Amino acid sequence: MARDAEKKLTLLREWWDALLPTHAVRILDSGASIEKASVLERLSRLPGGCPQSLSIYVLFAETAEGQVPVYIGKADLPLIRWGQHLDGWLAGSGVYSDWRLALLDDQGRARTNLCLLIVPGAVISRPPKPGFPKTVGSVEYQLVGLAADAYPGKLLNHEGVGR
Amino acid sequence: MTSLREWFQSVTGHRFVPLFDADETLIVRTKLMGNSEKQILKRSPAMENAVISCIEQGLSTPEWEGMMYVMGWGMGSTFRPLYVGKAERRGVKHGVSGNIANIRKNSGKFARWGDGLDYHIGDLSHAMFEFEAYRKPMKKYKRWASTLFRSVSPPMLTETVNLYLAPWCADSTGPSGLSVSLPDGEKEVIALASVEFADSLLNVDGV
Repeated sequence: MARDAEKKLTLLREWWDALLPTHAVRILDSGASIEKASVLERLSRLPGGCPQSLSIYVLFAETAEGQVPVYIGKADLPLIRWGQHLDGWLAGSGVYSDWRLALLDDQGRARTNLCLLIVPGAVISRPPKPGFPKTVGSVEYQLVGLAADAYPGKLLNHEGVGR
Repeated sequence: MTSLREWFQSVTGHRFVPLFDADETLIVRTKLMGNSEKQILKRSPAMENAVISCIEQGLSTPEWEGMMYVMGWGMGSTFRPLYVGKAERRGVKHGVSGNIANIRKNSGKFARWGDGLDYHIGDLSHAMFEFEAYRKPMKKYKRWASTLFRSVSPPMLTETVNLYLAPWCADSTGPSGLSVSLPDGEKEVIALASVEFADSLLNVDGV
């Protein structure tokens, strides 16, 4: 497979499979329109509430092939950052036009269930790439690099992805 | 996974060249550019030739995706990375990036090491000599200046600064041992250098 896609898929799953049951929440149901207040309320349902410290987050689309990562980022205050993401996504301006196109249908309804994994830096016990740092800043790009090849064409990130 | 220094030396086609055109006392020669005679640091002829060679050879090879560069002190087994970056083959809008197109006459951009603002040599010169421009010098390059130079007038280096250049192809392998894209390879090197060379690395993003 091109660019070690199979190995990268394994590394990704080894990293997030243990975190998904406790640090993820569905933010949008398939067929539903985006409602900012509803999404933020769902984020607050994460065990212990939405993290209020530097965290990494991964937005997943729940597809027939399983959970597919579509956007990876980091934020000091994930709830604030996701408020900004939702404003941009609703407006569909700039980079968010790609988000609309990939994740919503013509009527602005979610094409699939969407789930958000938010992992505070303090909870990260191992890096996705063996031997690499487990800081949030490094883990973000390790995940982006791995996901870009393990799920070609699915990631909406630009930085860290080949052209 | 191999150590970063071992990996640097394992890359096919890599080279180390002095970055600046400096005399034996480490004073970097400068040139005056434009109507306002902006003072700009000069790249070494060896660096210019190496970049031109890497880009021209690369563009003649379909599998070539661009060039990784690492500014640092020392070379080979004693190389100490200071800043890691890349010049990609493809641009955001064009098939061949404006950063590397027509490289022999592209001194303003020159594979990101150009004399213009928003390029390394131009921004570093701006930070050092503080000439008038449409914006103020960037803090990032103030940090570069204080790290690389003992004095501004004359512009004297603390020690010789070298540039590591590595061509990147579709089958290139990063320090992780995985086959990775140039952007991913760049981030791998930054991540490992941020640990091994934590005191000197100037990259901020990806650490």
